[in-house]
Amino acid sequence: MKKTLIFLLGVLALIIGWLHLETRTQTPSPSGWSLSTLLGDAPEGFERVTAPVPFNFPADHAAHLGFRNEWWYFTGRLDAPDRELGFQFTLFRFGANPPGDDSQATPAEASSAWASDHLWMAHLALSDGGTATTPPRFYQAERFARDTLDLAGATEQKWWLKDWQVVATDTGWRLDAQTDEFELSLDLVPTRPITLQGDQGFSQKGPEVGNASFYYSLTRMQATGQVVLHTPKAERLSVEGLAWLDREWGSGQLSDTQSGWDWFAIHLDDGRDLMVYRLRNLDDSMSSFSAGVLVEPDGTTHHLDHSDFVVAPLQWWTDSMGVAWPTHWRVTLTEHDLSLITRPLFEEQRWRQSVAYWEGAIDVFDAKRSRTDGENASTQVGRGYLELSGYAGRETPRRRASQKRPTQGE
Amino acid sequence: MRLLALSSQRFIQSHPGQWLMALIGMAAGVAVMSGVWLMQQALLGSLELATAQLVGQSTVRVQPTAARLPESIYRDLAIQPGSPELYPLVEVNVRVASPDSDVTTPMRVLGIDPLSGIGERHALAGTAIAGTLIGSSDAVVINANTAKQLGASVDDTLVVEQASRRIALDIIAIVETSPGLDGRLIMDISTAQTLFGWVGYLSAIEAPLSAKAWLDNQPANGWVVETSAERRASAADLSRGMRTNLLAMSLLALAVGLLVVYAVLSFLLVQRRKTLALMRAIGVTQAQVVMGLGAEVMGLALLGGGLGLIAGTELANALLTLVSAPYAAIYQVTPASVVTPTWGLYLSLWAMALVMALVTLASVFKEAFQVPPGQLARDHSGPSGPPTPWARWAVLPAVAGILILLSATDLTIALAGLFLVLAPLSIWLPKLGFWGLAHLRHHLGDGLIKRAWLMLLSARHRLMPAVSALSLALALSAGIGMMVLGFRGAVGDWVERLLQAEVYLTINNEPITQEIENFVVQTPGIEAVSSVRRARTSSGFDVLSYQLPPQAWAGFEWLSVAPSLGSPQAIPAAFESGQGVLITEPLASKQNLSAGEEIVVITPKGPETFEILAVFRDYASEQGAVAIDDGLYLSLWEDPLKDSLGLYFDSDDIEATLGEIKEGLGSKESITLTTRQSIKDQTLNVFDQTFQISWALAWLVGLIASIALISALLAIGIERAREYATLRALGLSPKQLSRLVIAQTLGMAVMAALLALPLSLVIHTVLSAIIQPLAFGWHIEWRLPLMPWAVTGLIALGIGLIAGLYPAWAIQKTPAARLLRSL
Repeated sequence: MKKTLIFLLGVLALIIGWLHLETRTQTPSPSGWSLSTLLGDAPEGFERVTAPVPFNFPADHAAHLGFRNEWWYFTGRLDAPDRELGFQFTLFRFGANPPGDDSQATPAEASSAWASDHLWMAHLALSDGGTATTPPRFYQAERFARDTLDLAGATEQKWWLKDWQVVATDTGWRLDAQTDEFELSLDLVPTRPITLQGDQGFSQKGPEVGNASFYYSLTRMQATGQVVLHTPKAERLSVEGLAWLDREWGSGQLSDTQSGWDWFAIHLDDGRDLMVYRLRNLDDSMSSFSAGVLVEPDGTTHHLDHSDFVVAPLQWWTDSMGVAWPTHWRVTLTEHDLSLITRPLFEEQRWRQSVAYWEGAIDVFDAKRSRTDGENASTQVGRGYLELSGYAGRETPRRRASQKRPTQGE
Repeated sequence: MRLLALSSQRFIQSHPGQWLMALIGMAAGVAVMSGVWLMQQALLGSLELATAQLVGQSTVRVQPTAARLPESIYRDLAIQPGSPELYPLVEVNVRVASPDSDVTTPMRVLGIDPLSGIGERHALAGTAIAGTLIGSSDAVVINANTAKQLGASVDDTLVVEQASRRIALDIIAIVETSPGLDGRLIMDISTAQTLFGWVGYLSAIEAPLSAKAWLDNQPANGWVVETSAERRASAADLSRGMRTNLLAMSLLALAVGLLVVYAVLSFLLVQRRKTLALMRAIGVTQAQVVMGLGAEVMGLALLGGGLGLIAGTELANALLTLVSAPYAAIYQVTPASVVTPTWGLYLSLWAMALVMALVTLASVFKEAFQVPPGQLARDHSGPSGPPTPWARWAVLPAVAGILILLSATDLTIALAGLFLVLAPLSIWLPKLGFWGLAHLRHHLGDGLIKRAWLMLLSARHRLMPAVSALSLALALSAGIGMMVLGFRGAVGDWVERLLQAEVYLTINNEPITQEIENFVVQTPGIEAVSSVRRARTSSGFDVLSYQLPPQAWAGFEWLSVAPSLGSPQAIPAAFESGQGVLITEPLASKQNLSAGEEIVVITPKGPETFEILAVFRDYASEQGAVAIDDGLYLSLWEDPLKDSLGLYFDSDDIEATLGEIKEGLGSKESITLTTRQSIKDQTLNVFDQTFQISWALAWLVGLIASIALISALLAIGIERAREYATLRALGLSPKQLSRLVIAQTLGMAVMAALLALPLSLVIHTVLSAIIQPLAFGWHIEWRLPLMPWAVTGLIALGIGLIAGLYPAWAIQKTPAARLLRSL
């Protein structure tokens, strides 16, 4: 009797097991897009950055389609009546095929406009430092497009991806971008001349010929405008502050031996602007191609090489995915008598879109007038932005290094 | 209770064959029902499953009002301030050629922008795939199910046929996805546009559901917005007729399956009467007896139902394969290659099978309940079979069914009416059959046949369920066959009449421009040209822009004409002057419209009201269409393109004229010229494919009915063992005895077939005259094809023969002495 019952229950269990297998559904896994094929070594045929060339403005504000990678990178700190904010707007261009390469081309008689040679990516972020009653919040959005149907592009007068755009004005630029969660409208007026990074804009990033980029910056722009928040509650904030623009283009500029970078852009209250980047080797040591610039209020520039500054992490923050990011730093420029401690406006400024990095607003303190630990630094001497790349474990070192903004901050 | 359980176990062990039959009957019924149910879900889900895999659940879709969406619309929307994430799509139906045979499989090209929706959960996980897709001019990604279906692997070349083109694609990756992407060839949008003639156009734009409000606020010119819920509803509506028919057939299959269970269990009860009576004598209560039997039935239903669900899942997959080609051709949607069941669905079907088994066996329980203690003799007149009061009261549902059928305005209600009519008929007809047999016995002499006859008659109560099942199954097959053949004839006639032009010109998946049309019109040898352009509207039906020369008007069969026109002769002039529109019969049925009334059509310039000049016969689409003169269409839609041209020749040398056209349009390799006959053949081909599934189901029902008959006859064989033994002892040879048994089964099968004839006429008439018009909106002229009757007769003979062979063999094999001893 028992045996029969056990047998029948066994058959029933088998049936249920079979049915259970049938009801399993395949859930698509998160994309984890890394665009490695587009961001790896630049194929032959792209132009290389091998020596300084004279810049020509406003022509050089437009896209340089002969090069593999290019970006227009705005960051800035803003003040609203009741809170501090930070923003980032970045437009990236990636060349899919070298100019004149028709190997993938389709017959001209019926070729699709979508068979494009250039892919564009835009990142838009807002760091809301919070008020006395609301916690800080990091907003982020990402978009992609091809340079078809006028969906994306960069001319002397306009840089855009779909409805996110920067348009030249009489005094500078006007940035307009909106997402479901927030809107940003800013007038950006340069208060200093263009700074050419490296050797007259030629920025060497690695040991080999071509491991370099053309790089210029507008280190201090007056920013005024509006921030509109749709969530958690609708708010319209009038804002003003300072912004920074980095422009860079090149092809395969990074070395295989580099794993990432830490990049700082700081507006000091005394009127000076400081940019330093530490390129990290695979063993986490500082690459000798690390560099920076210190801009005086009158626009005079002091170029810094790796021996002119020291950056050291003071404190790490671990995100919900278990990745540790060094968000507190000490930055020392002995020759210029600067010893700074940087602290994030808040920790959670990590990008969770297709590219994993931390980019956020930071406050800057004078280390000499503070105790040694950054948390208690009390004399604020400036504000700025920090970018940390190559810490998320899923990327290979080579990919991490070349993933985005290879030169900025390296 | 333990005693009862032990008795059950011993009984089951001593009658494994019959329990197996009951199990198979249960499983087969549940299998057909769940198979059709699961397949339906897959068909319904196939519309949005694919895009859900790529852009997420719950989307809205920007659809073109014409056949295609100019890609500039995508740009215009994408650069608007506050534009939501938009996903451009190019979808093209193609056929994939098999490397080793002429067989082609319908599939759907899905041209996507892999860069859109990157932040979403994306079926194309992994950057290499997307990057390679974008960079290549012939790369395609398929999912594992599709790869299995095609026998393809990475780096293989797929040859895709679209109209007259053959295009080679390179499989760069095979991804694991849910079946939503089955039958989809995923490629970069640029590849799809270039290879399939869609340069400059999109099929649709997908957007998250949250974008609906934003899209609703944009000035729509040439497009409409549909949510996935609306799309699902319209897809459900579109294929409702087809699905309801299938569902009805699956329920019939379950009914037949339950008849099998009933037949077997009622026999088994008879055989256990003695045991049950003994138990009652030693103190087992009536309730305990019924509970014991209930447990047996529950066990049977649980196991049979479970096995049925497994078989049903496999059956659904097989049916999907069968239905995918016609479904793709008719509804422009390629279904998944396998079904995606859920536990909710499985459990509902399982529970339904359990409840139906218990309900069906209520009379068996009642009989068991009434077994008196100590009754040791077998009761040959035992109830079983449909109890008599049922038969008398069954007249009520039959009358109700007829009334419902005559007044039904809803498909489901009409099908319920058909069930109400069929159920009493399936009870009465076997009674009628046995009554006829009883009267025939006097004319049979005193031979073996008469002996067989009498034995059949004495077991008639127990045989009735099996005969019912078989009659019902045969009638269903014949009735469906007659309806399908009648319908096929009607469609053939309709196509023949409709196609008035000699040759039809299309360009593969591209519209025909004014320039091409002008060239064709001016080619020497062309007498006249007709044209058609189909536009989608948000009104729930399509708009057909017709340009018709006088010759083409002969193609219409008018079902009603507006009173203001008086006669059909006045229709062309009124139509061409833009006085009104023509509508198809399905549209008239579905919207309850008639000639002379008005219809509102949503045009790009807003809603317009037109007079309905006439209603014409049309079997092309279930949702119906409005035909508008091309001049009126041009002024409202501002769309000068055409989908196809019909060519009328005034020279005898058609080939020469066609040659000139081909030469003149030489650069357009994709031009296709199709003859009238070839279009007719294609239409009937799609028709035949569509009804393959009906045939398959009819066969399945027949198979289950055969199980019913075989199991009933087996049971009789066992029950009659004493009589057989006596016959053997009296000198009947084993061979003669076998003949006797086979004569019995053949007689039963022939009787079932004869009974099925009137039943099949009822089914055919109801399907053709009531169900089809309600399901699809069109009427079919009633015809009486006799072929299905002939086939049914042959099948019945075959079943009768097969059903008799095993019992005959079993009786032959058993020595007479043992048969006698075992009594």
